[in-house]
Amino acid sequence: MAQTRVLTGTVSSSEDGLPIPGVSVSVKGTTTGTISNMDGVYSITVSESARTLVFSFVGMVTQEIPITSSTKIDVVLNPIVIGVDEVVVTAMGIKRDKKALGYSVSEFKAEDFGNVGNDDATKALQGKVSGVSISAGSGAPGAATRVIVRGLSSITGSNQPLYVVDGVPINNSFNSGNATENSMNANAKVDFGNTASDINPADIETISVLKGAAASNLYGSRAANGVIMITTKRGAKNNDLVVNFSTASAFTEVSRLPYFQQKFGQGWSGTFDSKENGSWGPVMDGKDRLTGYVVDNTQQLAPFSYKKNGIRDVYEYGYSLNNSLALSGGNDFMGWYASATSSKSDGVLPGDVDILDRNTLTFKGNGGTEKTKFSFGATYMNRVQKTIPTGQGDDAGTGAVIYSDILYQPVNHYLPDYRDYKYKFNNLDNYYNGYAQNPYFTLDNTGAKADQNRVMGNLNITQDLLKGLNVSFTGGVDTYSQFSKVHGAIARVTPGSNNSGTINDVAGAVKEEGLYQTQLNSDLVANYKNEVDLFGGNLKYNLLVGNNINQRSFKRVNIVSRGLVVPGYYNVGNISGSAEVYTNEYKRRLIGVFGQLGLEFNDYLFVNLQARNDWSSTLPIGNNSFFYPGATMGFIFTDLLPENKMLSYGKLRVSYAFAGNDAAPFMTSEIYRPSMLRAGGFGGTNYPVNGVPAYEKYRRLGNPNLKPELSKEFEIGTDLRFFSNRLGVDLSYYSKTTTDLIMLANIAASTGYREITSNLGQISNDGIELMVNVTPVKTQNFTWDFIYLYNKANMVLDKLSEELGVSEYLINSAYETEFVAIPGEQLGMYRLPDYKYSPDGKIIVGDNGLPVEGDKILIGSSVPDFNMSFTNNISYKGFKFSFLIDYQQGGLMYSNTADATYWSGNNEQSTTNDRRPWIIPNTITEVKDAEGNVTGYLENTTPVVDNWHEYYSSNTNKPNERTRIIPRTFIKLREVSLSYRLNKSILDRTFLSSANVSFFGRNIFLWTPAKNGFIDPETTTWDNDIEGLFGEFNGAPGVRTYGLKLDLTF
Amino acid sequence: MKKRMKKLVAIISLVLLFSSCDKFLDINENPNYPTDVSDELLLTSSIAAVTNVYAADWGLIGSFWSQHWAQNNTSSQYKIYESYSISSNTNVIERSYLTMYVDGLSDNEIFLKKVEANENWGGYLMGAVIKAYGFQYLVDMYGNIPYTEAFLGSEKLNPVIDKGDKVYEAIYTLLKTGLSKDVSKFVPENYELNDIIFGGNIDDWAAFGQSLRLRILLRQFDANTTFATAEITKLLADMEAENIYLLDKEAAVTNFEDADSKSNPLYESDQRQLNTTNNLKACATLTSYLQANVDTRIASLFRLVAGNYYGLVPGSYDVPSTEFEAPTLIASPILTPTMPVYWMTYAESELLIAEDWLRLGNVEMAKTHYENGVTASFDRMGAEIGDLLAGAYAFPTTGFNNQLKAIIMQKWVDAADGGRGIESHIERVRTGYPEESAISNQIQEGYVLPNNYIPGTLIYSKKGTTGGILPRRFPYPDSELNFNSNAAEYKALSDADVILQKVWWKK
Repeated sequence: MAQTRVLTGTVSSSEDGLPIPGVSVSVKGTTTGTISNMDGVYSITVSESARTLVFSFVGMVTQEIPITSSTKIDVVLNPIVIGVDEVVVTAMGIKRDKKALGYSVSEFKAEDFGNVGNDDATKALQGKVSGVSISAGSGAPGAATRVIVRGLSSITGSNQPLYVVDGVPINNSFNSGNATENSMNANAKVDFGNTASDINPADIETISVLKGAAASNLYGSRAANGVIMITTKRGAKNNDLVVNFSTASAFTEVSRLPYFQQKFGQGWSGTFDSKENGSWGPVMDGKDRLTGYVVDNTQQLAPFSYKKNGIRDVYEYGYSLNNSLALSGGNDFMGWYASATSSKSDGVLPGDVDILDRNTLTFKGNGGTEKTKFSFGATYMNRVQKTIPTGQGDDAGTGAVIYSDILYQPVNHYLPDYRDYKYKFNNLDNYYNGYAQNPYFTLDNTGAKADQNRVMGNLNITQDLLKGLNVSFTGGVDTYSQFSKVHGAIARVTPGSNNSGTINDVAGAVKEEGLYQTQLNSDLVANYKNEVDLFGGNLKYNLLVGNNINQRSFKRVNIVSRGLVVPGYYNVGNISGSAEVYTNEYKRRLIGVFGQLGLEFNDYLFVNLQARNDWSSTLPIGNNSFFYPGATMGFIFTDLLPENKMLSYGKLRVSYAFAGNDAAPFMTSEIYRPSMLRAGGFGGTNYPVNGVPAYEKYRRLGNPNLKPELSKEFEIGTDLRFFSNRLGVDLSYYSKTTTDLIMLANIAASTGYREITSNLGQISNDGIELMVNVTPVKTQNFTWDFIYLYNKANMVLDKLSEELGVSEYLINSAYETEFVAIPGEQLGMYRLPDYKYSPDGKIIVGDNGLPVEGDKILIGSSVPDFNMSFTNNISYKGFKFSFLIDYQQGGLMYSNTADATYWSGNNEQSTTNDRRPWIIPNTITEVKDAEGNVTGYLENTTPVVDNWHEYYSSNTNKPNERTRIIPRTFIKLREVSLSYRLNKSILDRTFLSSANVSFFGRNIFLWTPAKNGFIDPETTTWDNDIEGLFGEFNGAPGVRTYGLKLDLTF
Repeated sequence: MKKRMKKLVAIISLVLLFSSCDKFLDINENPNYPTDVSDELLLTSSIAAVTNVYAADWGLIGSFWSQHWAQNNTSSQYKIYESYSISSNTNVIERSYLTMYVDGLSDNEIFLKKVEANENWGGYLMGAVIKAYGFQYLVDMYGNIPYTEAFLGSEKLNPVIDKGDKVYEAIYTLLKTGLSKDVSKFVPENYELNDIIFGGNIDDWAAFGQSLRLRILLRQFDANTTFATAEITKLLADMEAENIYLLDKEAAVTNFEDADSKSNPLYESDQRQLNTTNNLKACATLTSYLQANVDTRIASLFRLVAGNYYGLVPGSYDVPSTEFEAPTLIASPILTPTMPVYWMTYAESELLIAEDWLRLGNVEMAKTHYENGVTASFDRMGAEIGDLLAGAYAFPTTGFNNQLKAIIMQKWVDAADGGRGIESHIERVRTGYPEESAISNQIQEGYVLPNNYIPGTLIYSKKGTTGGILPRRFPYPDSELNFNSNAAEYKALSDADVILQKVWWKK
């Protein structure tokens, strides 16, 4: 029996001297502990061997007091001064105290996003950064992620943020496009992702998001859309070997497919027809019917009833497996870090047609002497992605698109029944559907694969020259090559067979592409720091001057072969005609010089002046220089206020900064190219033909007067912490104006040209970003954190050039829907044919009783009203439970998935009025004289009888296409995780130093309003920029993910 | 320490020296494309662009409006053509206008500048013919259009819109200027490959130019009678005196391959690239006429289906497939990958001359050229004319209107070959032939015509949206309306009104 004794005392606060109740008092290294009472008094029984008492309380600095012979130990706790010690990485990789910043920076540490097993670090930030919109193009493995910081500020240029890893800008190209065409249109497309999504999440230490111009303009013109700054893990000198092993495996399943009606079956105009691709037939009676075609004098029998999951069951469970091993250590020369990560996923389509297989190897080192420091890093990445096309079928190219075709299958068929597409009733000749290919044939025979090898490297050397003065050089390279092949099978229907004449032959196609991109970047920066006494206070100042040289080169060769000869053999040489060959290359350079003067007065007033000048190769020589300064101020006003219990920290931030941006290469002059002529609506003529060459003047007018675009951004914000950090409020308002917007603008065809790149417009962005941090409960074992984010962003196209007579810009379109930029409106408005109205406001219908097309009207924008998210973190001892709910309100999108289900009569909406004859309410017909003048109106007496499909088809009822413009509103349970970190005391007996296991789910729940029963509103199929904001064209469905992750440290 | 500072200064100044070097930044020349090309390459481009529009856009819609073809009832691609619901943003309207202005005629303009600078008057004649040919159609289908200030790029971003009659005047003058040039120094070898109409034969271009002169004159005969009569008289006298020659062969582009993106543009779009080849069906208006006259050209124009040459009544595309499926019942137009696109047929050339003589009162000459024209049409289509010229197609001995009708009806049939419906549509607007059926509204959707239907009379589409009036012209394309500030007055017009408007030469 060891001897014990009782220690007592009072715990009080250094701020006000008052006693603190609820302070946790424990004996260090044991589980013995107690809590102080209402009067701040504690009493604890300790053993003779106890050496130290630990006093901890939320918001106070934990204190350790050695146990002496005295039995009374009174303790005064000091409050933690919030934020003061927080260091964040800012532009040019400069680490600064967060308090010194005059703009908002959001920083995330590995543990903020590490528990849910994402293989794309940017996706892991979804819903966590106010003012940044992040969405995945689809649930397919490797699909692109769209990141837009503080709204769109360009119409025809890029809105992508600059990605910087360890101080070096990296490539973020969107490696996608039409499957076998060299242009962007609705036809079959493949999404090979965007290259910034490939940074290995396991290597990431922190991610900083620089949103405004003040935060980012030292990075130069390329940072005009914000900066995502990633700092990776590193070793430390004289550190023991640390081994981290992490593994995550997950299942995925389709989260949202259109809701189908369950009443009407296959057919058209109310009549059963076993070859139709729509559910416009009679009410399904459940009785057996002869179905499909007669083949070899036999026909199949199937109950005429709704088949639950008839389409959904085409999809299967996908899985992903991420393994990562990281080693780090260090001697007295340098610290080092090495990691290897393998990330594999297989998407929800059957077989291995949709996979991502990514392996990365990283080695980093850092060290040096007191005066000369160095660091370097090198990453090799191999990425293999397989995907299948989205969009519209392209019979002259890769053929059918499965995501499209399965929407045109009547609801009384269970598609997995047709899996054996070689079986006589299921083959191309006899597959029951006379207008859509057997999707299993498509699945097996159409696909795309990309192989990418990438190397990224960086080197930094910093030399101290004098006290406070150092010079630092950072060089970086990011280079990759990607080879991809897209193929579509020959799909010929035997002449005279059942599907002959209704299903087109697909000629088969192959597109091979080789792509090479290299970015070189050099930064040379001199930094001087000092401090002086001034006005009885202390003034710290630092001065930075630097030079940046950046070069990006790009080369691509495309070979497209359409019309294959040998089936199943996918090589560009396998054609009867000649292959189309396209090449594209560019090189662009940018030189910048920049400077920054930072002043810190008495640790509460911070002023920063910065400026940069760039010279860009893409602007006309002589007019290629642009200068953009900025100033920021941070003021911790609580330092001047009398001390108070409520407001523990308060800072005001104000900044005003300019940012400049250059143009895309080769916009200053005109070119000729081999003639490509389009007529008839499909395909066209590509010269040379029959050995005759032809060149046309390209439709773009060169602009030798191009200027850089310039934006000005004002930001004001405040960071307030209350009740010893229990409540934090971070609020920013920004207002940004971009002038001389570089745009590709349409001009009248009669000029002989179609478009010109010019300085045409002005966009205003403003928005509010709010983050509220609450810690309602915090005790030694139990903590509950709650984070609320709110974000509202406006992006208004103020004006377009009157000089050019440019009144609007068409961003994208599909069928009747146009996505336009119009002055005075939010950027990205949907415009559609309206109904035609009589003077008294009635809808005019034609002789067929269907509405007549009127003028086009704007029906809204793609810009959401607001976004908000709620994050809850609850931890109890080693357990942590977190979830994140993401909510977007408002904004519209185009959905062709919706169109397909209207067209085919498969959706619930198409059963309005139970498909009984009806006269469209509030309609009249026009009476016309011989000359076609309207002389009067008559009440409409023509009902929609069996031509329901015409009422719902946007081809025959154009105003009805507005039903394809669906709300972007959603509520998503974006992330849920439950993790458990093993108690140290247990691990002490093992070779492990830390172990964490977590169960996670992503996108578990999706709610959308009734108008969108079709698709996950974050889906897109065009690109990950403004064109993609238009919406989706038969995109891949979103997925739900469940998984398990294990992190071990040795 | 000082040594270090020196080094630093050296490095920084080196970098700055490097930075200020304009050469380092002077890399913005596009390595992917040439910035200038020789004239013959532009010539091919220009001819090919006009060919594409003429056959696959205008020809296609024209053949619906001329009722050569009709929309199949188990597919839906051209419903809007047959229901006349064409608007400013309809693809065909935008696309064809853009292709003419931005590609075909614009490349031709650069071609013209180049050959004029080189005093290459043969080249100039080609360019003048192409320009006149293209602009005549633009006026015929769009009315008033930019001409004098067109193709000036940034010099005139908002070209003025010229009146149709002024454009006619200008292209007529241009054509005459081109035809008056001394082409003796012309080097045909330079154009053997790239002149995809006549292979560099400048005499053929001159003949085509003269026939085009006739077409331009005839089009404005009613609106500008004095001028047209005088010019026609002169032209025919020159022809008789063999001072000039008119087109005596097909002016056709035949440079096609049976390969993706290399074939006849109409075939390429409608047959190879579209997702079904069944949209185009024979129209009952034409098939009834050919059958009533036992015209053997029917076999060259349409593919027999189930032993019949049934044609659809215009606007029958919504007849349920349970009633009949057009692909298994209705004849389809014969389209092949390498079929020529005729800018003007020899038959048309003769029929133009026939009308000229008729207008000048020389019925005998009119009859001769009419018969030449009809025979040429049969010959081209590989059909036997038999004794039709003595029977059903005999040139009426009396009655101007009957005689004119005979000529125009033959143009109408001739234009059904290969999708040249736009020409017969414009001629219908001009002359009123083929006539409209008096019993349009008694005719039911489908393929069965009532007994009192007069074969070859136009039937107002069962799905027509223009209040019983056949469409006359195209609405202005949105791109011109939206981006040319001079188009404001046209923007205010409603598409439905514009489509029924008459262009300047129609009184």
